[in-house]
Amino acid sequence: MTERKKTYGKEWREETKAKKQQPYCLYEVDKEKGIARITFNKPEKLNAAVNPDWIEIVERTYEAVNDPAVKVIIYKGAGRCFGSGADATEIIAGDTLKPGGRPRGQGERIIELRRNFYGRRGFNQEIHYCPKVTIAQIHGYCYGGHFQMASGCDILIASEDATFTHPGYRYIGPMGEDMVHLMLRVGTAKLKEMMFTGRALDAEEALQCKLINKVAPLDKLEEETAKMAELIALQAADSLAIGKANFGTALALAGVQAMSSAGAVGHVWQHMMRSEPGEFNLVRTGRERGLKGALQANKERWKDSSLMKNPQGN
Amino acid sequence: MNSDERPSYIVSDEKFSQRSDPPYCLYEVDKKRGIATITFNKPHKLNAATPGDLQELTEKTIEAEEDSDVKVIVYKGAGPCFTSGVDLEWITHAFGVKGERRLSQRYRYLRLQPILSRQGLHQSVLYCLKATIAQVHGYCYGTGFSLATACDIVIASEDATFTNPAFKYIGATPEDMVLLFLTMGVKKTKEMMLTGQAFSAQDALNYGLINKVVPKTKLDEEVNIMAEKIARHPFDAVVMGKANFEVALDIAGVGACEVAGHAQETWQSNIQYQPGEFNLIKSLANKGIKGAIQEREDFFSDTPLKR
Repeated sequence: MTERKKTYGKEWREETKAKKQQPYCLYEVDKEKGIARITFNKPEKLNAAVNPDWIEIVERTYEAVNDPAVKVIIYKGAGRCFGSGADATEIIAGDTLKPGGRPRGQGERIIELRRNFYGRRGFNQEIHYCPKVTIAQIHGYCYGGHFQMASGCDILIASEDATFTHPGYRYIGPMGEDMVHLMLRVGTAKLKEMMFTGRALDAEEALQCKLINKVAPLDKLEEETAKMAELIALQAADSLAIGKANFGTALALAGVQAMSSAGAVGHVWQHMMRSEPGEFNLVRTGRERGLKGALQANKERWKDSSLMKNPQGN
Repeated sequence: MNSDERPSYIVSDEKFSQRSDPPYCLYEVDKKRGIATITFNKPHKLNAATPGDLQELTEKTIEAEEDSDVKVIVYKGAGPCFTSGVDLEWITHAFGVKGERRLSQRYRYLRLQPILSRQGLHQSVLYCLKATIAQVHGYCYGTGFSLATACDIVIASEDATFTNPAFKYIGATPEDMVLLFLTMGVKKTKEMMLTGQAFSAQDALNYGLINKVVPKTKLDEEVNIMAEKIARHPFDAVVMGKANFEVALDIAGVGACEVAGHAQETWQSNIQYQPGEFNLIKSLANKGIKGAIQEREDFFSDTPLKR
């Protein structure tokens, strides 16, 4: 049997740490103003993140949470965009069958998923329950895992060129892990439209449906975000901490916690979907034609649809 | 450093993150049978754990959860008992030292992370994707009681006793309240929490808190049988089943109570004692651990609880 590469576990983490040449996040703290900035820094890949990168985001967030000088955490992206989500090459490689190999079982899949993404130690819940105030400073693509990160933040400020969706909606359909949270933000009607069509929202539409707080011109984005952060950082630190704890309870009571757990199960279940002839299958196409080929094929498939009508044309 | 700026111990409070040497946990994996055993190994301290020890315990739990050769995790204590709970030595440190400013609420909240947050010990055990068994003898107190409550199965020897001494110092603690409601009902839980009275193994069995009581000499064997029964099942069946339990617990409200509980327990750390009440912190500061425990025993000695 072919050894399948694991993407979780102690050995994997140690191995990855040793292999990592440069960190995914830039981290800076303005102690005087009480603001930490976490910048996703893989601009050559549109900040697409592999599994250890998500873990690094969580670790950086811990660092900010436990820094007594920090009141507000700002997440942002280097280069052209906030972030394009999980690196699809990893998704394809993770699911690719090797000759003589067997697919990962459901148990291994959910251990991995919960560890890196949607469980109590993953990035999704880390953002939902973060004890410090969080702001997403968004420009360009805000897709996939980065969309989930941003929408879990307390405040979202976007530039006019920002676009929002989760490509997963186009591959495996509506995803459950933050469904309740997003329903609370944009309402069921809009969310279902987003999830069933996979269509990306532009900044204006995102503002209208209350996904985000504010739209600013690209050259003013940094400034507008800093203003909001500084305003929040004027509040007493204890009042923010207690307030965030209360918000955590409110979210959990509204069903966000239960849906996170149910959604993680639902997500792994979605891995098992069978695609019918003519339907797009990211993993299979990626295996046959590589990531670029797969993304091209996906584009072809949607080319006549309204999906293509957003400003990014993607 | 000003106490108000004292950071959470995850990152830089040395005393709080300091690990024990030798380590608190003995950790062995029987790959063939799919069973990991975590043994609390500070028998000279009745396995009382420091915050660093609790973090080590969390890490071992995660290691076993992520190990593809493990299906069942067994927790047990070396020496005279399972565990007597948290080491009182750090409690004075946690509640502040005389002359310093009152601790900020955010510091109180953050320092509880390694126990009560999603990454903390309690939830790591409660929502572990592998089956968990607590093998209990002697004292099962404090965090040990909370850990046993979070396990799937509890098997105890006849001499085991269950409670959390904190009920006597700060009252009913929220983190395992809802689990106890679900296991032994509201009435018995309130009785335990309001009186602080320890339940015997037989009582605990009657109330549905534990699964089985066996003679002490049979404890190892009975736990082994239970672990093997579970480990015979397919890996996917165990893990998927546990993931389904997580969903059910969260829908039943446990997840929300955990989130709220972290805040509530922070609030409780602001407790103020009236004259004539037993004040653990003061007693520890004045008389040390042995003296404080003696004072507590004397304080409660003429109550009908003592039997």
